[in-house]
Amino acid sequence: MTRPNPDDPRLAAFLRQHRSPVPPPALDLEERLLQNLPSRTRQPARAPRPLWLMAPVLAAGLLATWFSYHSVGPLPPDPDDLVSLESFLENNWDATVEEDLDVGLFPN
Amino acid sequence: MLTDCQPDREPDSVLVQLCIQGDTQSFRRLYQRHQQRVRSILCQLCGPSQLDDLVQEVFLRAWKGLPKFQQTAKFSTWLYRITWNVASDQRRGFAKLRVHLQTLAHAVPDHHQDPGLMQLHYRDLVQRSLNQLSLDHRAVLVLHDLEELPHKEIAETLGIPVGTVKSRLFHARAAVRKFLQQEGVPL
Repeated sequence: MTRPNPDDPRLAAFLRQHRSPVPPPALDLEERLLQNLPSRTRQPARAPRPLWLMAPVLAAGLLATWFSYHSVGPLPPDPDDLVSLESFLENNWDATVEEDLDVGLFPN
Repeated sequence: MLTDCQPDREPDSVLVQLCIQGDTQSFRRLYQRHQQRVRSILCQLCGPSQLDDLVQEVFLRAWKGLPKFQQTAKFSTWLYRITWNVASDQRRGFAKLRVHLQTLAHAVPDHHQDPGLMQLHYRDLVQRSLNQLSLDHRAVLVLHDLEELPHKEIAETLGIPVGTVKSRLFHARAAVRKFLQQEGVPL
C-alpha cells in the first residue's frame, strides 16, 4: 500500500525501519480460535418474496368468488311454499292496505 | 465443506455472509487474511506480552459481532475498530502498563534476527518514543505511519473526525521527533 499522505517521510521511514518485530503467533493459535468460536445456528437464506405470484393469486381468488356465488346461490323456492305464500297475500292484502291508508292519509 | 472449492481472493463481504450463517471455514480465511495486521497493531499499541490472547479476543469479538455488522463499512475497518477497542480495554486493565512495556522493551530480546548494536539501539529508541505518547496519539501514529492506513480509514476506525486524526498525528510526530532528536538521532 502506498502511503496516502507522505508528509514527514523521513520520520515515518525511520519508525518503520526500526519498529519492534512482531512475535509470531503460537502454532496452534488458529485452531484454538476456531475451536473457541461459539456455535451459531445457521440462518437459512431468506427466499425472495414471490411478488410475481400476487396477480395470479388475486385473479384466481376473484374467479373462485364469482363461481361460488353463482353455483352456491340461493336455492329455488319450493312450489308448495309459493302457493301458500300467494294465498296468504291474497287473504290479507286488502286489510293491510286499508289500515295503512286510514292512518297515513288522514291523521288527526 | 462449503468453501473449499472457492478461490482464495473471494471478497470479504462474501465471506462475512457465510460467517453469519455459521461457516467457520470462511472465518478461518478472514482470520488468515487479516490476522497479521491486527497482530502488528496490537503489538505496537500493547506490546508483545499476551499478544496471542489479544488477537484471539479481537477475532472472537468479531465472530460474535458479525450478525450486527453493517456492510456499509469495510470489514477491515470494522475489524481495526474492534482491535482498537481491545487495545483500549487492555490498556485500562493495566495501570502500570507503561512501566511494564518499557521493561519488556528492554528485557525481551529478538530471537528471530541478529541485528547490529545500532539497530537494537534504534529499535529501543523507537519503542520508548512510542511509549511516551498517550494511547490516542500513539494509535494514530501507529495506524498511519507504521500500518500506512489512510486518514479516512483511521477516522472511521477510531470514531473521530479526519481533522482530529491529522491534529493528533501532527502532535504525535512532533513528540516522537523531539524525543529522537534529544537521543541524538539525525532526522
